[in-house]
Amino acid sequence: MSARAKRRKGRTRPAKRSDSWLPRWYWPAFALPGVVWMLGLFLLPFYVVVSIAFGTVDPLFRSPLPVFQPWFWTGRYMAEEWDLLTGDFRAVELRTLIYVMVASAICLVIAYTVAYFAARCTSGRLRVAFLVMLAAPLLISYLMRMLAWVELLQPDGYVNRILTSVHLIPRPIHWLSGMSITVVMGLVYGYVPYLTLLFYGFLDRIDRRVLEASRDLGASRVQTFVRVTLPLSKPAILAGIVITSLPMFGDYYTNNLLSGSPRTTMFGNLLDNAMGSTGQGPEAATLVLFLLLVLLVPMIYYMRSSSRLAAG
Amino acid sequence: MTTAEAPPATLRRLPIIGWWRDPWRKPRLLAALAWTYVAWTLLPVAMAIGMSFNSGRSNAVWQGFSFQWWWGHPAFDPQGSLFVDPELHAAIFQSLRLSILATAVAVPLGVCFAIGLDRWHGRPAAGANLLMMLSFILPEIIGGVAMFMVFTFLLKFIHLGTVAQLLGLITFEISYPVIIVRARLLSIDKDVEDAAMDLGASPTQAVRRVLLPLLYPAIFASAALVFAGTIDDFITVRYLSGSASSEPLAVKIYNFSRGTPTPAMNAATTFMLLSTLVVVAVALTGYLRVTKGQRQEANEAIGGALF
Amino acid sequence: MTGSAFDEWSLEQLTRRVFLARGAKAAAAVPAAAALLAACQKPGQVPTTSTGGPGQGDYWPEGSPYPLARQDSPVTWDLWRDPIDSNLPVEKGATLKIFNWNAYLFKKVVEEFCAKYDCKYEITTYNGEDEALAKMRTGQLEFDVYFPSPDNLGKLVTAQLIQPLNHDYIPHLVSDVWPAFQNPWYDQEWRYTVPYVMYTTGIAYRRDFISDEQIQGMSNPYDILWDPKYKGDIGIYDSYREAIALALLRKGITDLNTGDQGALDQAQSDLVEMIDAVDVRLDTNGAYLGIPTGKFKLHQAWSGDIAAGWWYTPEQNMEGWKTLGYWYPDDRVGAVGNDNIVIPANAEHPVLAHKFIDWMMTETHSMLNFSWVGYQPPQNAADPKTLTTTDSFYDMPYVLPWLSRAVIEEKDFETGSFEAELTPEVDAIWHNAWQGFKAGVS
Repeated sequence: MSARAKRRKGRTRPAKRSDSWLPRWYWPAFALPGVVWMLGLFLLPFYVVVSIAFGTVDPLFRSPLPVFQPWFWTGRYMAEEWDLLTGDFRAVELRTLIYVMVASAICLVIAYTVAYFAARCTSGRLRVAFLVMLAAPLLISYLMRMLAWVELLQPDGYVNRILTSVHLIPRPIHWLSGMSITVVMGLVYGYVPYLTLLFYGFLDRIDRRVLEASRDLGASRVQTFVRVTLPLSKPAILAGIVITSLPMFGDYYTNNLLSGSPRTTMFGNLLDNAMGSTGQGPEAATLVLFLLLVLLVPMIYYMRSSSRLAAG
Repeated sequence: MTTAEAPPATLRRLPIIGWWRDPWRKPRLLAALAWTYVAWTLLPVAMAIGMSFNSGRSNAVWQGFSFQWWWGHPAFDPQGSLFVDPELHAAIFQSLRLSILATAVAVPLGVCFAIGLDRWHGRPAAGANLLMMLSFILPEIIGGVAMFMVFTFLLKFIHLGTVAQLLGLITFEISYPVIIVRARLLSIDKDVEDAAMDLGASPTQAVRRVLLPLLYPAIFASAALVFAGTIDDFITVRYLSGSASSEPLAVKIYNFSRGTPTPAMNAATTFMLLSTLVVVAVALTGYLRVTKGQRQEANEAIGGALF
Repeated sequence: MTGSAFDEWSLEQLTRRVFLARGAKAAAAVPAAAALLAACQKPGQVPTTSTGGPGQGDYWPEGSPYPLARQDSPVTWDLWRDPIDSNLPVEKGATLKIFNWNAYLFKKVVEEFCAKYDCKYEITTYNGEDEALAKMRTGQLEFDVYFPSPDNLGKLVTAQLIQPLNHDYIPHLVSDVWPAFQNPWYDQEWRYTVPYVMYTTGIAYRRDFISDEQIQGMSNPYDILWDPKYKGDIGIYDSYREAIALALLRKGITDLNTGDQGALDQAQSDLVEMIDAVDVRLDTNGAYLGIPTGKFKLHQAWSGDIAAGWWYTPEQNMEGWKTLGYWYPDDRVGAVGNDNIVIPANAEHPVLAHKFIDWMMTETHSMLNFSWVGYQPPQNAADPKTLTTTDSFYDMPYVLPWLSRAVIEEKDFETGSFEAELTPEVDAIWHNAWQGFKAGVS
């Protein structure tokens, strides 16, 4: 079969009466407002970011001057920022990577455990109540949850009080003075609720009979889990990793709220600082593009695998 | 298999082994872990809500019960309570305004987008889908920075302020209705629409009177999610805010936390939570009302068939 | 950034950029370009009073778009347009839009003003100068009054973002304020600014942990902020000028406007040393909130912050207030400054704005503001010798007696170092040092 015939074969759909007399533009017309919006307000801003990264700087305020014509682009500021990115900022990049990996791993473990409990060990009213409690953090603002912890972790806050009263620590700890563990815990606290419901949805759909069969064939509880449940939930785990870790790379407010020290600076803070300082417009733009490039690979992987899931 | 796993006879008599191998034992360890998680997630928030009723100035140490930070005149700052402070007043209205408008635009836009994407095939459709998914996974700071730059350098006729904030919010919230509605569309059979069109409906009528009602659960769920997302958004909104009158509650809370945090801040976050719950409840009631007719007709049809 | 940005600033690129800067309210690009043309043509010379340069001053480094004001080389700004006419009626039913630091203006003073002039008010706040400039520069927000410090005045005037004042509306500056401010070195003939409040930058400390004698007895008290004994209890301001100035003063460098790369590199590594040595934290409310509530034992502090700290002590009595301490060098050789009030060029209600400025210059309202804000205004009535003994609106001394070093006298401006305006290039070096510190790079 010729290549052209193969392509045509792949593209045919079963002829449905309803479709054949609809104009070709009918369904795309529904999507049109959305597409126009995304092009104008999502894609266009990125072009402006690129224009600023390759643009220049107003000598008075050192504010960014975007250069919209690609033939006038200059790479000067981008080159300087690239030097920083491959030089001085490497520590920040490494730290961000470590924080995100550790926090994502903890999130996965916690969310999976909780979702497993919800899917396999609860039923009826208890399950509904438990699910409501799992979903509640999604309705509570991130700020509120984080500020709640800030209040608890103050030197005279309840965490220190409880820990000192049971003599676990000799003296109150300054949790909010640039401790990595506080920032990682903050990241986990912020992002784990999204994962629990995702995992619950998946685990709930696993056919119980498969698990029963496994037990009937003599596998222990642990073996069933490792050899049956885990492999079945692989797509959920992969989706979960992407959904949690990608936004974490741009997180800056967790660090701002939970740590006042430059010791725990994350990549998002570099970006937020550049945005707030005069004369660092091209730097901010370069950082945005850098982050985008780094995240592009996992993003595309996620989109392809999720569209494969949706189609299949 | 079983013989290899069997422990020696002496050990088998130990109660703990018996307990471990009992296939019907209750999963106490797992339950303990799960409930600890729930406590860890929700207790700090409960305490933060409680602190908003503090009778002192601190929001870390309990000093007694009082409504002063909600609608009173606390000694520390007579105009500083949530419903008295004119700045917080303005912020409450701005929050509600932004969320309601954003939901009102993002949900219909998203629903249409989802229907279109679902039925449209080909490369352009994949491209549109890619854009939409990108806006979903992108860290919000990237989007916020990009939008700030576009409104201050290119589309300068749109000033920083409510309009810019709305445009920014809607752009990042569109993906929620799209994803939820598309998931629902996967489980809806096209035959119902085809039947409607066989009976003489135009395609638009078929969509409006057959497809949309089937999508109501998804539509209401996405409206609730979009509202919850926009009312506490502070990243995009902070970059796009103009003067104080366009700063919603979330931005004020963020500024508060870096300035002088008082229990009024806790009251403000509690208020935001309450509004979200109210909207979710309204959405649920609305959904139940709107689908009441369907469920009633279904019951009647079943009744008629039986007798 | 190396080299002068003017290297690539050819006339052709200039016109192209002017063309690109479209939009009704053209951003700084156009006036900046015009000013640049002028600056390009006469570097290092005293310009004539043509429409070229933004002002005249003796210290005008080559390549700088504006003259740099220094205490020993004052600057007179040109009037890029005429001030508003005299005797105009006050706008009715207006909303006065104020753009100011967080918690830097007593609302009661504004409310009394609005009661008299039948207006409403709206205060938009910022947490740092850079943030404020970024918003001002867009030209989109029409504030009526803005409270900058003199180190950005040159940029604001050159970019024509602020308007000249009409002195007829502000008689109280002449009658109530220190005469020196009728001809300040950063704005001779007070064409664009009036003084708001003054401050020194020293160290606030908890007197129940560190005695006055201990800190005053040190050979270099700035070192106490690097002392590992107080690890976890030390904070500095999240401001690039203040933090780097602190490191410079510690090393005995009193030129707080230096462009010396070596000095700034050393300052950067000194600051980074603080991160691990004392777990330093950065904020803007650490002095007035953190010290009284015990979050910090030591914090870099503006004099007004610690003077207003009594508000936030958990125990609202003498016992609680006695815990607040402030140190500033005995010889008064340290960081000193004052903030200003200006009217943005696109203010919607300029007459009301002028009246508000006059209100703030008036003795009664200025002193009322002082009692809440803690920062001392240059009022004739505020005799520095009596501030620790005179009671304010709150029946407390304006400055608690054991904080006497926070009181400012006129001669402090002669001995102290003022953080003045930098050229864009030097500003870039400072910002780079700051960015490096924030990323933890020494």
